[in-house]
Amino acid sequence: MEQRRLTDNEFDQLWQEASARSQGLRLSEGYGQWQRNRRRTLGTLAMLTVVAAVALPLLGSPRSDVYEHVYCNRIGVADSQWVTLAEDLLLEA
Amino acid sequence: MKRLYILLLPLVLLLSCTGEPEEVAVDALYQSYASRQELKVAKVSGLKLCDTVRIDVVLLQAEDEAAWRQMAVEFGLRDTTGTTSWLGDTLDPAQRTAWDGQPVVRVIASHERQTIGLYRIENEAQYDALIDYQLNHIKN
Repeated sequence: MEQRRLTDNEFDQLWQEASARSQGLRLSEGYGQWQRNRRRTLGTLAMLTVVAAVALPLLGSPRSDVYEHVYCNRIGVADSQWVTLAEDLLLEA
Repeated sequence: MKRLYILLLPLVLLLSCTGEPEEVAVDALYQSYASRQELKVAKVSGLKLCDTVRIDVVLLQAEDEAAWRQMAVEFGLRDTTGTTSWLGDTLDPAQRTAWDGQPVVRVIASHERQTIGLYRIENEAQYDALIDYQLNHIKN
């Protein structure tokens, strides 16, 4: 059987046909949709990770410059009163 | 594998932001006094001593003169005026101890305020910072 080289035009045409067939196959078998879903899922997870990485350390950071938090066995005493008392006691020692 | 990593990372970050041993120790100290009716008890977390050092404090304030007299006995206060300070054991702050690099409590008792402050010192940096704080603020 005689073999001959494809012309550039023939090669391009065959390439485009093959490309179209592969695209069609991807579409018909749901591969494209699956890929898009995967990208969307990974993108969402990556975004959540970035948000968590920024937000979580902030949640644990001091609420005030002078102290982080105060709690007490009595209701109605302002946090600042205890903080001032803790500071004043130190200076009296 | 990549997906597993992305899923686990937030969880690891969450866990890393919780459960500090020091916090638990000071909570135990607070809890040991919090149920007493004759005392106002407060815990101040992360009191800033300087830019890099914070400390946890438990404050015990007597509701009345009788409660203060009882506290004075419990903590072995000999003087009846002024302010007294010592290093105390973390489990029993009334018991005097010396600094040996292990966690201790700086106890400051004020008769005028009828208050005892328990400043938990975990390490040398906190010990130094506490003394520096006192010196610097007295100067100012």
